[in-house]
Amino acid sequence: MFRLGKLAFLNTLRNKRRSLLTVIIIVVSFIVLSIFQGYINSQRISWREMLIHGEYGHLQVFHRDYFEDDNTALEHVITEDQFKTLAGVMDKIPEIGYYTGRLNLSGLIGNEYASKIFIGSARDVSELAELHYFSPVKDGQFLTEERPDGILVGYKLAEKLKAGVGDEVMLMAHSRLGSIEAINATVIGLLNTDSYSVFNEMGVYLRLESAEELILGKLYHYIVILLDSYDSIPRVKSLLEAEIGKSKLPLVVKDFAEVATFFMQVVGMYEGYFLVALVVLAVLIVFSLTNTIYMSITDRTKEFSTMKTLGVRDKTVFALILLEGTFIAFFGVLLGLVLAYLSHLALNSLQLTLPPPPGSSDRIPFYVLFDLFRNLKLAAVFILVAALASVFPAYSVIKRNIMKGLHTQ
Amino acid sequence: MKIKIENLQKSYKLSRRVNQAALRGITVEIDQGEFCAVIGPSGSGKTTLLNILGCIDQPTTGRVYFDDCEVTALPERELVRIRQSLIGYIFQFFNLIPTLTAFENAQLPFWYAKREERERYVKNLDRLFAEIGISELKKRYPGQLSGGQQQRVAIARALAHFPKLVLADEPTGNLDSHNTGEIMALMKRESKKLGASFIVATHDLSLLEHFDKVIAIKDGMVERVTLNKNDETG
Repeated sequence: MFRLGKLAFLNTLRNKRRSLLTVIIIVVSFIVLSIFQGYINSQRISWREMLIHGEYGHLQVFHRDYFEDDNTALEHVITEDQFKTLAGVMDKIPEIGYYTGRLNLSGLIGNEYASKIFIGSARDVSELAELHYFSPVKDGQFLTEERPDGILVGYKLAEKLKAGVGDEVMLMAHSRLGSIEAINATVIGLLNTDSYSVFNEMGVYLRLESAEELILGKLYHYIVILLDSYDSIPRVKSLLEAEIGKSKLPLVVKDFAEVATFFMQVVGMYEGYFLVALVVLAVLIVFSLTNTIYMSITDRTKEFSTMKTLGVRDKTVFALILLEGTFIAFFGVLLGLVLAYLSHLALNSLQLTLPPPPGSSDRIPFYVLFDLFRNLKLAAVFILVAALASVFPAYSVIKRNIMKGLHTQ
Repeated sequence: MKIKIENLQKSYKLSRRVNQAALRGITVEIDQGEFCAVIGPSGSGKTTLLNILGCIDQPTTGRVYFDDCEVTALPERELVRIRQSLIGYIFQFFNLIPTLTAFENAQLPFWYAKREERERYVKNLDRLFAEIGISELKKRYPGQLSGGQQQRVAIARALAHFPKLVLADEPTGNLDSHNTGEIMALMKRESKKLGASFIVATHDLSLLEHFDKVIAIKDGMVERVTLNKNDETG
C-alpha cells in the first residue's frame, strides 16, 4: 500500500501545471463553501441564541395534551402543585439556570376609543433580566413589581387604541370557571417583537399575578427553562423526563428544535441553499478532476499496459488512479482548509455589514463562524467526490487492451 | 519449462466483414533453457506470437502448453498469476515507469510477492544489477539513464523473479551496435545461468549466431526452424 501510495503521489507531480490547476479549483470551491457555511453557521447560532434567550428557552414543559387544544384554552394547563413539584426537581439540576411559567390568554382590550381582541402572554417580571438578550420593549419599560397593574401592549395595537405609555385600558377575559372577568391596567410599555409580528398587532404582556385575577387561578400553559448551554439540552431533557415519569406528572418536555419550528424550517432552507452550492461546485470538481485524470492516463497508456503485462493486477491499477485523484483532492482540501480559516479571520476583522432586512433600518453584521468539525465534513465530501471522479478514468484504463496500449507512443 | 505451441492461429477483425490473419497455424516447441529467436519481416506475426506466449492475448484457435499446462484454456486471473510468476518481459522501448527509480522499476514484477519471496528476489536483483554493471544506477530515474542502461534495467526487471520464460520483443531495436552486442551477450548468459527459456523477436539477422534455435516465420506461418549447433553457452 505504501508503494502504491508513493507511486500515486509521484504521479500527481508529473504534470504539475495540470494538477495545480485542479488543486486551485478545489481550493477556491472549498473556500467559497466554507465561507458560505461559516455565514450560515453564524446566523444559525446567533439567531438560535437570540430566540432561546428571547422567547423559547432551551426547553419547554407542557401539559401532555396542550397541543391538542387551542393554546389559550384553560383545560390542559400546568397546575400550581405540578409546577412546584417540577420546580423541586429543576432546582436540583445544576445545568438549569432559570425557569419561569407562562400563561396564554385571549380576550378584549379596550378604552374610550376602541375595543380590540388581544392575545396575551402572562409572564414573570424576572424574565427581562434572566431571559431576554434584547428587550422587546419599544417604548416605556418591561413588566415590573413596582407597577402591579402595568401591562405591555403591541405597538400597533396601541396605535389602534390610540393608547400610549401611561394610559389606562381595560382587559376582559373568561375565567377558568366560565365567567367573564375584567381588570383595569396601565400601559407601561409598547412591545416590538420582531420575531412575533402578531404580537405587535394584537399582543399584550401582563404579569402572572394580573392573569390570575382574570382567570381566577394560578395556572401555567408552559414552563420555559434556560440552561447553561445548548449542548446540555439532551442530558437535562432526559433527566426531566425521567423525573416526570417517576412523579407521574401529566407533562411533556420539548426542546428548542421541537418548538421553534419556523427557525428549523429557515435553517433547513439555508442548508438547502448550501447543498445546491455544494452540488454545483462538486460537479465542477468532478469535471475538472476527471479531465485531469483522463489526460494523465491517456499520456500513460503504455505505462499501464506495461504494468499489467508485468502482472500488476487490474484492481491495483484501479486503486492507483483512484489514489491519484484522491491525492490531488487531498492537497486541494488541505490548502483550502488553511486558506478558508484565514479567510474567516480576515472577513471578521473587516467588520463588514449586510443591507438591512425589510422593515428594519439596522444593517446586519456580517460574521462568519469557522466550525472545524463542519469543515472537516466538507473536506471529507470533497475527497469522496474526487475519488468518485477518478472511478470512470480508472475503469477505462483497466478495460483498455494491453497490446494496443503497449504499442502506443 | 518446455513450451509447446500447437496449430496457433490468430486473426483480427478489421471491420465487420474483413478479418486479418496474423498467425495461420504455428506449431513449434521450445525446450527448457533454450535461447530462441523468432525472426521475420514486419507484419509476419512475431509480436502476436509473443503476446500469446506472454498470456496477454488469446489465440483464435490452437493451444499453448507450458509443460503440461494448457495456458490458452486458463481464465484471466490465472493468466495474471502466470505473468507474475513465470514470465519475464523485455520491450523494445524498455517501458520503464518514469516515476520509479531503476531499482524500484526492477521490483515491479514481484509487487505482490510475500516477504520471504520478496527478499529472495531483491537479493537476485542485487546480483543482477552488479553483474550487469548498473549497481550505481539503482537510485536513478529512467530519465537519467541512457538507452543501453535502461535496457539493462529492463533485463534485470525481467529476470529478478526467476522466470521460466523470458520474452523479448526487439530488445536491441533501439540500441546502437555496441550496446546490441552487450545486451545479446547478457541475455544469453543469464538465460543459461537461470535455466530460463528466452524467446527473442528480432528482424536483425546479424544477431542469429547468438541463438540456439531460430524460428523463421512468414505470413503467420513457420517458414523454417534452424538449430544452431555451434552455440557457445555464456
